[in-house]
Amino acid sequence: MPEGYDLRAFDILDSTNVECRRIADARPSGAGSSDNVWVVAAAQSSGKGRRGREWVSRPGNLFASLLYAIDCDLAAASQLSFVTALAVRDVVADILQAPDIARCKWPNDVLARGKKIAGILLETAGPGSAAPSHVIIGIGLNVVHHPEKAQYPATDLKNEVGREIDASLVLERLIHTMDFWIARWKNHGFSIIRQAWKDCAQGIGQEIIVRLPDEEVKGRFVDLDETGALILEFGGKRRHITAGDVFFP
Amino acid sequence: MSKMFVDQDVIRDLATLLNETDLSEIEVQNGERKIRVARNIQAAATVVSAPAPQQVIAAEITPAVAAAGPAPDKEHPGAITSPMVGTAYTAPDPESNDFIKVGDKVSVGQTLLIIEAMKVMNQIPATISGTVTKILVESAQPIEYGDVLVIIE
Repeated sequence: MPEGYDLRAFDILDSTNVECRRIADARPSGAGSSDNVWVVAAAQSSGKGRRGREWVSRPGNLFASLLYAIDCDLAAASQLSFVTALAVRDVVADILQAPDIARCKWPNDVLARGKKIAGILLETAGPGSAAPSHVIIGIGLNVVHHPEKAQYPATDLKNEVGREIDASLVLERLIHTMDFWIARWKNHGFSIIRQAWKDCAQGIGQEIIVRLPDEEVKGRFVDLDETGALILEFGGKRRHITAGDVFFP
Repeated sequence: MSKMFVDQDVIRDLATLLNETDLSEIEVQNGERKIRVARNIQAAATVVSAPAPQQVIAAEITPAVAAAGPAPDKEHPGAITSPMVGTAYTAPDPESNDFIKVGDKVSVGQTLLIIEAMKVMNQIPATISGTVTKILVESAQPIEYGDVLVIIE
């Protein structure tokens, strides 16, 4: 393990994100709570995606969350969404031995040949609203299974490379790539991360569909703004989107 | 002093800006011309020691505009404001009950809302204990930094 990290492995958990929150809640505030903890489970009984969507969590896939101690505001914490996407994309690209087909979909999904292979959900934790003490970074990576009926077409590593893959080896790579990208973010700031994400993003400059809570908008994916929001151009106007599901027509 | 030309458009623009920015006064100077627009003042008090011609206009902010603005809630001591730009959710997921409703008693640290930005879910906790008297956001509503979310009394 990289320095400053701990690993806790379970046969089954309700959710690795929920376990991270339990660890964070049990920590005394202030000194002594700075260690980062990876929580991994062989299966989850109630894995969740965005807005409470079920994340099917069969054994063989990777379910891991990183409880990461931070000292920044909420806007900066949002940048970890892109940091994580880059780390997971690197792992997928490395295993597939094909960097060009592993892409990022805004804000933090990872695609392999245009199909979703990993989902990432982050939560902040801590007593204050403006400055959280921790970020919980939940990562679900399809190693040997993928859902047939999903909101977005899915795939898995085994399906892509044609051989069995061990989730524990995927985790080992992930722990190191996360450490690498977090260090880049801490040392160089968000501009480097933003550019790296754009370099491997799907759909920049193209027509996309964004499903918002109460409407669906179609327009051109112009850029990421400096906070990471998606700039969508439609009807002669530009809108900065902070939450939504992206689809490619 | 000869009769001055009063540029009403400039004054209107400044009055709008004043309202939008929630400032009490704005002063602009272009060469020897100086315009100060202020609000919430009874008398147009000003310093006239400078030789520059000066117009002082107390911009009338109508009660309707003032009531529609966010200022009264923002100034409330029990106002919980948004620490970030994002999308607010009143419940953990679409099938669940709202975290809070008007009349609920809440304690410090209790989750009031979630604000999502870039797929990071931020639980917004109560920073004071009391009774929820107003909820100013609807679920899935985009919000800006500093928007008042909830009033606790």
